[in-house]
Amino acid sequence: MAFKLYAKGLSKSRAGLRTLEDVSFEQPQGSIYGIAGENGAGKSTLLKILASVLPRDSGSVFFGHEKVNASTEGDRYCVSLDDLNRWRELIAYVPQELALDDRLTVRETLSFWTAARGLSSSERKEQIELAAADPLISEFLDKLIRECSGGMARRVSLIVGLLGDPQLILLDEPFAGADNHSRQLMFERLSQLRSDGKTILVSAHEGEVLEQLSNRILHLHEGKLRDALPNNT
Amino acid sequence: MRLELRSARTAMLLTVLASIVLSVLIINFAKDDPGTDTEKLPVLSVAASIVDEDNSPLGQMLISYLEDISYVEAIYNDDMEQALERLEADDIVVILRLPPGLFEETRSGSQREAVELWLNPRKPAESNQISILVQQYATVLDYLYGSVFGYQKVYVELGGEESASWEESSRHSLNALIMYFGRDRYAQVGEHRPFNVLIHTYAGILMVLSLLPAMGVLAATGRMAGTSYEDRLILSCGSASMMAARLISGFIWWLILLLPPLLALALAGLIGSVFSIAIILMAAYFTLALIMLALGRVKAPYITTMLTGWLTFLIVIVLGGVIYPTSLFPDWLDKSAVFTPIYPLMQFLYRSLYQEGTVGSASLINALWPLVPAGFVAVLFGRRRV
Repeated sequence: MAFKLYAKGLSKSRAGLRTLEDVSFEQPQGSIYGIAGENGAGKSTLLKILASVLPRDSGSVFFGHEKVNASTEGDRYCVSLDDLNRWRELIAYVPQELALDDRLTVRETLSFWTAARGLSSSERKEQIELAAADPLISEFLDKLIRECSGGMARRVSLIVGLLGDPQLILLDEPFAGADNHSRQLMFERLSQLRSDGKTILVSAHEGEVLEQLSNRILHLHEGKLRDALPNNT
Repeated sequence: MRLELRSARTAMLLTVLASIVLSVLIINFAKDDPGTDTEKLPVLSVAASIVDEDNSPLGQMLISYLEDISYVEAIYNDDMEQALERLEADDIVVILRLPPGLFEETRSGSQREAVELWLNPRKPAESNQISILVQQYATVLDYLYGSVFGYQKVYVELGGEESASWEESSRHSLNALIMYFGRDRYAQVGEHRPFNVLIHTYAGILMVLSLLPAMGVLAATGRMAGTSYEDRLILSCGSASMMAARLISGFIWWLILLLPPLLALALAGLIGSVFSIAIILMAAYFTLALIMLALGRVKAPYITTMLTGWLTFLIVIVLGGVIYPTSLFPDWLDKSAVFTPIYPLMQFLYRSLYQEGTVGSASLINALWPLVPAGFVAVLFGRRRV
């Protein structure tokens, strides 16, 4: 059964300024949507709202069955953003900043974030082993984060976000500061996730990156969604 | 947490050593201090000279009466010259001069020469207390004297023989007066404990050590507030778990800082039970830490948050009587201090140390009230709202 991400009429003001205005879109399961726009266009704001780390002024978001509508919100095929606990089990969020403790090694970082998710000891072990085997980070597991290059740290940040098998993946500028090799590895990983049926929203400054990766690009301008262009990729 | 402990291990080791040494030193001093008996002593401790120029039974009665009062340290029966020498040497705080003919004039009810009170100007606190006490006695005495004098007149009218009746009635009247007053009636035994600098200092150090980890809670909260790292943590474990983790991290620091002195107290046998002291110090930490959880969420630059935090810390320890006893403050501030969060905890701690850990559990529970409002503050303002 196909699921979709529904965002309807999302608005947000900050310090009297409208940072997001009536943004609505639908995204099917197993797709990558890019979010493009200038600085201050509202890309990060949109992703933070979807990640449930920033409250919205109005609008609704849910992830569920295609036939879902407002009246069926809350049934077992639909998870609303308002149902925080269930929503947070569903999503992964990789913020624009690295948001990693640079005193830890990559392996310790994995251990910390699996522990933070409150997993049992055996689940943690399993998750760490899975993540450690990922080609994105498997070569430098014992390296301190502070000793990692920008690209390596970005890869670690992505892997940390993917812990726990999320269905909806929200990536805010995941390629910023990453070298070509790292970028290529991340591309491959995201394509694989799409093939596995994950729904991915990714923001980036670089238009060509989004064109290469996304099924569709959402263009934000001064908080408004200008158009949603389909992409051939 | 492990990383933080690892990076701070040298400072931590020094702190633990310092607190052990301090505890041992203070315990040794306190053991030698004779002033730590468990009896509930009055605030005042007075040595006085009586200059009895009346040489009547009244002077002797007064001396024996005063000697039995618990807050009177020593009573000397001097002439005026000796008494003034003692006052100069600060051996006494007050001279009480009974003028010649006092007893006769009192008996007859005629105009009498004033009883003189010479107070030591170098001991203003004690002198002030004595003058308050004397004023209280004098007011009551005037009232009673008027009543007793009236009673004497009635007695004479009933008894017939005038001089025998006067004598008999005066004796009864004086006995009645003394019975009425009671020995300690005006000795202040109120809220404030008898002050022992050493114990207060030690209580203050323990309190500051227990409050310091709360500043770590503030630092962690303020540094992380609104960052992507916090976003990630909230998504992983939720806001409540994050708050709990900060409190637990601070508590581990509390254990590191407070266990050595508490163990030293227990092992030295100076305190009957350190349990109540540990509970009260723990409550002090959690009270301030809960407040700091809320303060750390204030939308301000990190440095401003920290400065505000330290200012709060300072206000809380000063008004809590951690640095100075609040009885030294102006009256209004002393009364206001009662409502500050650390005050009841510090009072309990000082009393526990003073009474060697024998304060009752009811008092302990009463002293824990600041945890309740602090908990509300943390729940209302300490959670990140999404």
